[in-house]
Amino acid sequence: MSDEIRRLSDALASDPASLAFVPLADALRRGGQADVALRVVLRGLERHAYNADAHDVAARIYVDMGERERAKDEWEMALKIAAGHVGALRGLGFLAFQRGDLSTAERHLRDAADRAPHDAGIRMALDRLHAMRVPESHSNGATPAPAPSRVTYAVAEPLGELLIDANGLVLAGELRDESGADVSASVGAELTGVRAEAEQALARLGLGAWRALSIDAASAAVGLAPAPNGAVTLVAAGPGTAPGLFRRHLQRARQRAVSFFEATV
Amino acid sequence: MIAPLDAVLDPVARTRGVRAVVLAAEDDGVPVHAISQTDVDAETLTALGCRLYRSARLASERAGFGASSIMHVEAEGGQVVVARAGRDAGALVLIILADGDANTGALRLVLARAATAAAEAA
Repeated sequence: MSDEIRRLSDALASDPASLAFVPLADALRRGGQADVALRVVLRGLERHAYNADAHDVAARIYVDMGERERAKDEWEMALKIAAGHVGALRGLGFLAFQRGDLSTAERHLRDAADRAPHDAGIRMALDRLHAMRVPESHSNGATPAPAPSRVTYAVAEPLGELLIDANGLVLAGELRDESGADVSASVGAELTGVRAEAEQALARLGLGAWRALSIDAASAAVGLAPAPNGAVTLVAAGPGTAPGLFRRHLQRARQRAVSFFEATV
Repeated sequence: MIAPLDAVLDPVARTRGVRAVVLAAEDDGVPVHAISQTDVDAETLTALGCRLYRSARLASERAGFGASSIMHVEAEGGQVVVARAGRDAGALVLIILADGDANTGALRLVLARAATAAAEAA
């Protein structure tokens, strides 16, 4: 028995009404004891039927046991209890992906990414999904089946995205150059300095508060937009990215910035 | 040189939502030629547009993104678009002040054409 499981078991034994059953069940699951984990979480749910995290763990256990329908029920219950529960959205996206329903998978994963912009796992899952969806629209024989118009376009994903605080420090996100070096801090510091300049210029021109600033540069399209608490969100995309698509990337980055502050402030 | 520049700026000025268009030297922020509505101070627009563009351009270069061709700023009460006309040091820039609901795609298109024409005319 691991130290973590022993500690959580002791905590639950000393206070059976506590929520220690949730991390305990998850630790048991990760330790390969799915049957024991399921008993723990179901017993806990008898007392805490409206705990979304407990339903999330129950769903993960069912996935490990190969019971996808039950997992789906648990994650849907978690979402009813806590709309926007990231674990449930990610799990439902995973299930949809497994059964080949890529549209539903993308919808759930995008919702999850909006609420947890710093979750690299969700972003990687979305990237993988996109990589699968583009060739999907060009495959399968001479007479391809009609597909929804959105999957006939190759959507260029941004090179990176940063959320930078009012002092020019990176709060979330990552940006790498062509060699793979992390340039988040230097890019953030350089470009967020333009914000103050833009605010002054717009004020003097009587144009009010700024909404976005974008630059078409030689090796990237770069956009800045204001975020809560004086922060700035920055998106970099390939130089050939369509301006309208780039604007959407920037809008989504702003939404993620709002979610970030809602979750962390 | 004024007549050819009128021909360059006119199509931009006639674009729906455009309140002013200025051709200026980026380095000194002084207008070379301008067409603007009466309520727009072209000299202020030029000075601020050049300064902001230079800041954004230099920041972009220092950040490793290379030379910038177009900068677009959107605000509650309008938008400012700046495009570089030519690649040389001390190049000219074209600055547009437009209404917030002006068609952004149209603005970028006429500005890019005008920037090319201005580089040839200057």
